[in-house]
Amino acid sequence: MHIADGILPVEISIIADASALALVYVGGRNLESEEIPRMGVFAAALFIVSLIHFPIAGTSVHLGLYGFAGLLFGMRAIPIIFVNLLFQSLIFQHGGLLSIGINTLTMGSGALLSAAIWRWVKINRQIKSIFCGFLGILVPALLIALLFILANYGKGMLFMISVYLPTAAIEGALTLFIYNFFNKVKPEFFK
Amino acid sequence: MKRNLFSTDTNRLLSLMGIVVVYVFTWMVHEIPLTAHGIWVRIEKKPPLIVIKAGYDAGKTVSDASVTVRHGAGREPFKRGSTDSSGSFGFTPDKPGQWEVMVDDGMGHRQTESFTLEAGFFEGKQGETEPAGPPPMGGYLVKVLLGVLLILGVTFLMKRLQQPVKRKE
Repeated sequence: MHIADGILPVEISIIADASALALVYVGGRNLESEEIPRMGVFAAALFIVSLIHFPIAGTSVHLGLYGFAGLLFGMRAIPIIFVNLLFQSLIFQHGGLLSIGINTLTMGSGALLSAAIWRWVKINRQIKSIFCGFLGILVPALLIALLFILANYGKGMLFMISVYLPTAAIEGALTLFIYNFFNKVKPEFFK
Repeated sequence: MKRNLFSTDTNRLLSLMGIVVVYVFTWMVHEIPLTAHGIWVRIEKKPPLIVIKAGYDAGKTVSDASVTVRHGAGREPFKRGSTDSSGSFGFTPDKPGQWEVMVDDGMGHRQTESFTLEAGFFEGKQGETEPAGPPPMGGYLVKVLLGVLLILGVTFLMKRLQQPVKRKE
């Protein structure tokens, strides 16, 4: 789901880079000492998870866990996603250094929406975790599709929805599984 | 005394990550498509044709992806087209020099490859042909481990910077 360099106009990419860096600062300020290892280990786990891909509708999609990052870390998910995208770009040339801002903003939007759902929607937590996982990747995909349309690029919104709906379903189920795991071994994570 | 390996938060998180690493490694060893989806592009020189093959990192071909061919520094495309179901696209170049091929799957994944054609190519001499296929999995695994180690290294550095080292009196 990365946007490679050169697809969106340079001006938009630079504005997005500046906005993303500001968000990374806001998300990463006043870090408590014990938060850092947890965030680092989760960023490394996210890095590996994002390498798990599967073919859908003739293309290739991968897991993101942005929804779980959002429900677990809230605003702190933004620096985690940024670091993850930075190393994916540097090591695998996925995405790009110029487009890292737009990628951080789109994928971070899923995490922030998930954080909002987790905090303010009062329903069963297991059901909520499914919604977080589902929307955590579907919303970034829809935003990217919208950007593609504005840039007169890509295969259209319907194609993106057809590709990312099954992915979102898998993410929802996976987020529920991971939530159940952590809720069992470390329930205070979610308090 | 029996030590509980999963007594701390970090150990629990590391164990979960370890499971994922083993899972990824197992799939890689068995060559099941799993790695992330950058696009690779291979150029095959078959005079008078140039055949381009494109696929995702895990080996699945990139079908129906747009291909743009340019010559030298010229920004005007020499040829446009799209890959077939086997991820292939062919064209006949008309002059030696530096060529550039860009493959874009329309989903945000794009790869550009450059290659040089010598005059001999136009005399029917077979050029060097790179094997068409994804990059070796071993190199990929090293990159995965490198990424994980770098992220954990940055985490360690941040932790150290936040906690000044206590000097012994």
